Amino acid sequence: MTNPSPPAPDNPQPVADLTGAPLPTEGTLRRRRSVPFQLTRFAVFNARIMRMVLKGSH
Amino acid sequence: MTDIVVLGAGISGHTAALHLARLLGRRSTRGQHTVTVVSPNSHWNWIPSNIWVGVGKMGRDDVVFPLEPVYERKGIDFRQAKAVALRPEGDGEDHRGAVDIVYTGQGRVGQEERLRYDYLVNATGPRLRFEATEGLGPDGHSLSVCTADHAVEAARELDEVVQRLRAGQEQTLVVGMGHGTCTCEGAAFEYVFNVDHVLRDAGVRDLATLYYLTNEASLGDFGVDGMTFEDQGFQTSSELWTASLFRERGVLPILGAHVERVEEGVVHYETLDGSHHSLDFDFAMLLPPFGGVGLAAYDGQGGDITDELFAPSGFMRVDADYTAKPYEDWRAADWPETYQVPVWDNIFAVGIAFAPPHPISRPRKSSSGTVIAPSPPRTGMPSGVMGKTVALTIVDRIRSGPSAQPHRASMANMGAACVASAGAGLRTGSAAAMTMMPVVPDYSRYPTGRSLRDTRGEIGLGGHWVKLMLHYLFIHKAKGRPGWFLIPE
Repeated sequence: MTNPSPPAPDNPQPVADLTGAPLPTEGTLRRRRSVPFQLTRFAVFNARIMRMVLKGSH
Repeated sequence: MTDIVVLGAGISGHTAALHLARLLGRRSTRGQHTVTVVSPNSHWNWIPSNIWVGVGKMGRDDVVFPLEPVYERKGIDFRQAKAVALRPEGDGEDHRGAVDIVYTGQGRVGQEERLRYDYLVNATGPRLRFEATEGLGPDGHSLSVCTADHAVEAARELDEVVQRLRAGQEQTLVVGMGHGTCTCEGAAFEYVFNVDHVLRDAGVRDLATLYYLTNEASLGDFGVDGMTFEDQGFQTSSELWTASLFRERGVLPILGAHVERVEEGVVHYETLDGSHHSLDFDFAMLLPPFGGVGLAAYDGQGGDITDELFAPSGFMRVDADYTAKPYEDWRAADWPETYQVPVWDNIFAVGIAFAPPHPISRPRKSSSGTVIAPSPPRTGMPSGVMGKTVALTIVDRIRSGPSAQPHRASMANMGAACVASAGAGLRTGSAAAMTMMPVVPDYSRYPTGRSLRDTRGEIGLGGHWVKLMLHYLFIHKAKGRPGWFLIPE
């Protein structure tokens, strides 16, 4: 998925240096697309929203 | 008899009106109470999905619907008009509060009317201040996704870019903030990754250079001073988490930028170090800064009291602590709880219409003195909560008398879910899904400002499903369909 798009060299821009940012592993990218795994994350995220709603001034 | 007037039919105003009508009963059983909504727009817009309209994944009709049939069904009076002046003390004829409106539709364009109220909810939302930056906006040289119509135009332009890329022409696209004081960085973040997704789907990403031009001093700031997450036993920052996504997708971030001017195909900007730059583009979607809608206010004798009710930004002063103080002295307690206006406790301001006491992110200036500071977000989930909160206060006061205690909902004790789409598609979509609790960090309660248990971020297909689910749920809710009030704000 990595596809850096370098700026045109004749018009350099002050782009932030991202070389220190971690790249996801193949396993992480696979989990992000895995339907069974993501169904679980979907349920967990919704539960988290509901927890927040019940806990805060909502 | 109680007359309630709600100015604005966005998320906060519409939510307030629906709850008021529900709690006071249908028109036939409500007695003499009236609920009147004043909005210059005839349609409701689920703005978070404008992102998908802006890349051609949804149509305009998927994100808007007419308000009048909903209000007719719920017993709410509707005036398609814009408010121009408030008169909290009334006038020579009637000492009840009043609001002057000018019609924008319903066959009465330009006609004026003075509405009397016992309670007023100001939920007018923002004025899109494209004029703050020369050449910014659809009437200038850049695009926007702030309204459904703007988003349709952006999608059309993006499609032309894709056609040129398919023909082998390299293209430069810029997405971001059109001024140093913009808010809604999350929307620009979503749009840039949706554009990236569309370009990849079309198989033309390698010919495109995609910039994210933002006023945030660091990635992952989102106008809320960033977040700290707990991940696999470590604390990590939203900055690192967000930077990872930018690196993975090859989007080039330019940080701490104030756009000075947009010309045909060129954006000129200044960065925090005081240097000035120009960037040539083939496509630019740059959001405008927000301001109040410009309501005037007059006392009972007709004297101008606009400065008493409104901050210089045009947003309404409420029960916040507006004392000017440095970033280090900002406290969660500065933020409003009841959204009541001082002196006039029958007026409330909610959503974007209330004046925040200060930003949430640390404000910065460039070395030449230009303010480059994200304004605090108060849209989406918090807007709906505020609308419901003031509706509950008003109903209590109608039932129990004006001394009934107001309901409270501070953004410093309120969570929010921010689901930033990174591409649409039931099997191929993705989103950066975040929850934060509270929205305004409270360092007196949490060492990192927010609850680590409730402040989380994850990226994946499941986040896209959440955003899609919220789209359908909130349109169901806004249409007042069966069980709408069971869906949390």
